[in-house]
Amino acid sequence: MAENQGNVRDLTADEGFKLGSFLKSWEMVLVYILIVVNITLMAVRPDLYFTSGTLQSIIQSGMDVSPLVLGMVLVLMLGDIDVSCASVMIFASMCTGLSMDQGIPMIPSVIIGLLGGVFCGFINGLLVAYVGMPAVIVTIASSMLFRGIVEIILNVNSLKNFPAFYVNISWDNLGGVFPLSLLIFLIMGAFFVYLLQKSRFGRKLYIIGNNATCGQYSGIDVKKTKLIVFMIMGLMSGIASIFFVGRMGGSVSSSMGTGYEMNAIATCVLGGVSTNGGKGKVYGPIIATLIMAFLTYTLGLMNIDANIRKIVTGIVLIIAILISNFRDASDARKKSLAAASVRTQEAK
Amino acid sequence: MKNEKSFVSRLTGSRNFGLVVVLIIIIIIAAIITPSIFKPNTFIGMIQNNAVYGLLAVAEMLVIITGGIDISIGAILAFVGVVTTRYMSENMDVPSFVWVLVALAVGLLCGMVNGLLVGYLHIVPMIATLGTMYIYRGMAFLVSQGKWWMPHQITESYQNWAVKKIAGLPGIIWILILMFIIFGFFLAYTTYGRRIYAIGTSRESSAVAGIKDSVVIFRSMALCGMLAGLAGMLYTANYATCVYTIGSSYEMTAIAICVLGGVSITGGRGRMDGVVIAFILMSFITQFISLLPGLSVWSNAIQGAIIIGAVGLNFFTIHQAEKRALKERSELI
Repeated sequence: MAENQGNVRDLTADEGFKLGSFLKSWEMVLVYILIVVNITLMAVRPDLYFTSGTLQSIIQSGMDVSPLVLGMVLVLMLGDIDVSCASVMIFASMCTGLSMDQGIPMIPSVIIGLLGGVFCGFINGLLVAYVGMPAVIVTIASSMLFRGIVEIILNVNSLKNFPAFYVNISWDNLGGVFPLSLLIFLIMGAFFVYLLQKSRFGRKLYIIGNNATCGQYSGIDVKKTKLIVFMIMGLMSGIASIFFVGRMGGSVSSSMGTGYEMNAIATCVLGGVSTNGGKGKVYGPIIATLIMAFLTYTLGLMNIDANIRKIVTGIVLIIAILISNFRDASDARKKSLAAASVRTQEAK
Repeated sequence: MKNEKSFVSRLTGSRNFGLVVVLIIIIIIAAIITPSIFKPNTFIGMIQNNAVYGLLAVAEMLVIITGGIDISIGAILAFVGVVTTRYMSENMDVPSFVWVLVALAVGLLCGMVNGLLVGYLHIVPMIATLGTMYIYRGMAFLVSQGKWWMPHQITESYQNWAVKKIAGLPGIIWILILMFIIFGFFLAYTTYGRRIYAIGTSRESSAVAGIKDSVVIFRSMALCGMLAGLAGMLYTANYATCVYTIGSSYEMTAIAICVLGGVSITGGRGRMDGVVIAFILMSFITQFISLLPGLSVWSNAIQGAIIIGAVGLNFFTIHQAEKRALKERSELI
């Protein structure tokens, strides 16, 4: 082995842009899927597809879970999960609605709603990071707790007094063409791309997701980072409440929005975020959100029942995971082959 | 070094200590506010109403111990319930035990699909079962065509599997007790059961020891599906109604019971006695809340708070026990 030590291996990472691997990346596969879904829709209902307003309403219909998706990316990146986000969303909308009912002006009410979301996230984060309970069980219990609080306060009533711009965000188009909700989603998405890919905070998440102990020993305050991530998730649930309430035409009751957390998780996973943590990008889930919207709408146009659409969603999800699993496996095989060839060359 | 631990420290070190304390507190509160909960009939009714959760908890336990999770069991329950109820109401003269076998078989099939995806195709359990949850729920709708089934469409011999009293206890409770015993024995004393724990503790070292993890995970997910199927049939027999939306989010309650009972969500730990205590605790909470007038809207919030409290207490006692064990070990050295 001694003679090998002079033979320094080339450890510089190959960061150059390669068109081939870019076209084969998971994000690009998602773009292809999106295009295929679009072409299918175009072929099935050309009259409808080219009517003005169809594309906008398809996109708008998918935007109500979009803030949850962005927040969920960060949580999944840690290797944790948050199944309470739909309940937090309803809790946040209740906070806004109640304070509007009390005659508090619009802007403070919206902020109260967002703070309500952050508060729920803070409780989740505290229990996960500092008490050390598993995220799945904490968020299952806290989703019962938060929704339960909404049930206690609202009982069977619904809140109807919401800021007018909620409905505008979900239903209006900028200049009659570009959906306002998509614009806001893309701005938030760009911020999250920066946060996760470029900022110091985001790189910490990748390290924690890959190996929390390793992160701890390299000087990352794992507990604090987890707490912050869950609070961001709470904030995003609060923002989601704006989209959601607007989508519902400005009213909210305690039984609304069940199952949204599963949609958000499914979208993230379709977007290539690993639930084991430490793997994935923000671009993927952003495209996956659009795929989900188009898929649901296309199937709806084909007169397929909502429950059968569920079957299709499930199958799409499983196939997407299978494809990405096989890709990972073949990548790993290539890498190990390359490493083996390097070893044989060194041996020579 | 002391060989004999004092009785008190052994008691507080036990994994179920936090759980039993919470159970006792709840019982005391219940005894003060609603003494009627201690009538034998109320108690039996309470267990009967929650027995489905118990069956699902046993099912979920088999999967969680391998280090996985199965969130499709609520959907399997609905699918199997719809299948057996529909074909039973169309063929009323077929003896009812056939439907139990059908339920077991269909549930087993659903579980095998889950097991295939997780065990052999290596999809993360949470996501694989999220996908199959959508699929089974959709299939439940397909089979039922959105129809309701009412008590008059359900034969008495079918209902008897859940409600007929044998030696004072309804059938569903006997089946539940049987499952607790069978699977408690299975997990604790059979080679196969110990392999499930080995996989959950460390896949690498169990692979080195010659355990095929794919096979073990496949089988335990298949068994989980089978139990969920049985729960589906018994649900429809117990309430004598059926619609494709039954059992939604039951998997969450089942997971909650498991974790309350000391089954580690990361796998490799958990015993049947803990799950049984957690099941009784959970039944107590739901029954207790439903007995209080005007409190039914509080049920979700109270359940959530109690789960957080009990699991937190459990984790706290486990951490303390681990710390103490570490300290003893360092003293030994």
